[in-house]
Amino acid sequence: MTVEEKRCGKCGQINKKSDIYCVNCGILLDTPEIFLTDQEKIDQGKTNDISIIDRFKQLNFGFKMALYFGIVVLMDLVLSIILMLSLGLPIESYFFLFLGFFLLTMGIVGIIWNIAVTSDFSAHLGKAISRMIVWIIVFLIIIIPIYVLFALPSMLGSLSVTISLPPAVNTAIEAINDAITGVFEAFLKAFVLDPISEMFSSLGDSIDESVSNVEVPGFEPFLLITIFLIASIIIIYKYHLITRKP
Amino acid sequence: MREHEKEKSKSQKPILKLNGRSYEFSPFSIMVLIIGAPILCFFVYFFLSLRINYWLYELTAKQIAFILNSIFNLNSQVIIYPEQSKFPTIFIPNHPFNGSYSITTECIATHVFSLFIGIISCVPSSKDPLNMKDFKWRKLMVLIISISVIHILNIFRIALLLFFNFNGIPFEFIHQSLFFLTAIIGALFFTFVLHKWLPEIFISIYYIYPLISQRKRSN
Repeated sequence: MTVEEKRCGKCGQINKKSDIYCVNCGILLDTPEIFLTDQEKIDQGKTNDISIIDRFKQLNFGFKMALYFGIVVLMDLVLSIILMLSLGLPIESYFFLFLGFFLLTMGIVGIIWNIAVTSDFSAHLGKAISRMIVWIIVFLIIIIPIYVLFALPSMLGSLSVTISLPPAVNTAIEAINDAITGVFEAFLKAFVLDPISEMFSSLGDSIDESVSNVEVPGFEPFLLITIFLIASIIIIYKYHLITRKP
Repeated sequence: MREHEKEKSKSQKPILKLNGRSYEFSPFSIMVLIIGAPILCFFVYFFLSLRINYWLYELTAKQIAFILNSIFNLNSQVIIYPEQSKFPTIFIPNHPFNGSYSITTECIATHVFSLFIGIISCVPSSKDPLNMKDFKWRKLMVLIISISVIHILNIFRIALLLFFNFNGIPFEFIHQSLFFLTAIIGALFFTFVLHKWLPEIFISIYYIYPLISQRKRSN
């Protein structure tokens, strides 16, 4: 068989390379490219057009983890800056905001990551673009107004040009800002800080002679727990990838 | 017949195959881990804070003083109060600041030990006979190794803290810095030890996913 010929897979008849159907049994000799899926095209080497998602899926576990945490850290940096500026918090609080939002950001990025990986982006380009547009619209409608509402008082204060709003609007914005900050602080105090100290102090009081001063641990144990949780999530994800392999 | 098959498939739990071993857990044992571990941590923390465990504070203070004297030559002394009304104190003479340090509940890493004991005790065992054979031995080994290493790490942390403070570095700064460093090292070390010798803790948490998937499919 020369380079200009090809063999039929069913009857073994040698046909010319330009033949589409076998001259002997009449079956289709090659699957036309229009019928191949993108993954088959990649497997047969018929295309170098690998989408970003497919390229990403071929990365190994270490790169994926590094990319994931890179995105989480970047998003956490931005979120913490937005919150710090909008609530007018001191610069010293930035680090604690960063730590506090870390787990939340991991969850958000994880959900979006999971949706992106499990979605079939090998479909038509139009579908992918429309999906992107939906996300952009969600971002514009929900996120930006919230940001403006929170950040407007401090943004107005830092501008050199004075924009005079009606006093009622200024008062309303300040009241909303104070109310939301107050609710957040009250929630934290009522549901996290006070119960823990009350629990330990009442336990300490009730057993008076035999109990030494029971110390309420500060935030230090939470650092250990958080690092342990993050490492555990990585290990569990590794097991997930191993069990999902065909 | 179909209902019987459905019932049979519901009762058969999924089996995970990882690293050449099979893992199967009962939902009750996973619930014990998730709910029981934090509760046990609280009780262990409270128990270690009781006055009957004052000997732990004395022992830790003496070990720290030993390291300060043998490595850093600080001539430190341990002050133990007979009525046990106060925590033991380490006194360092000729100190530029105060020179007197109380060894409190957090100093002996009580919260870390309670976390380790709570988690390790509640790790469920897989039903596979190969895993069950050495499970208790592995649990004991992990407990001993992790507590020993963290205790040694903690003693050196406090010794370094007192030494740096003696040399003029502010206490709060060095306390926070050393704590962050040892917390990171301790957490990663604990995760490594669990991953190496007691992977059931991670696999049992992951096992919830195929369990729920199987229930959905059988319904």
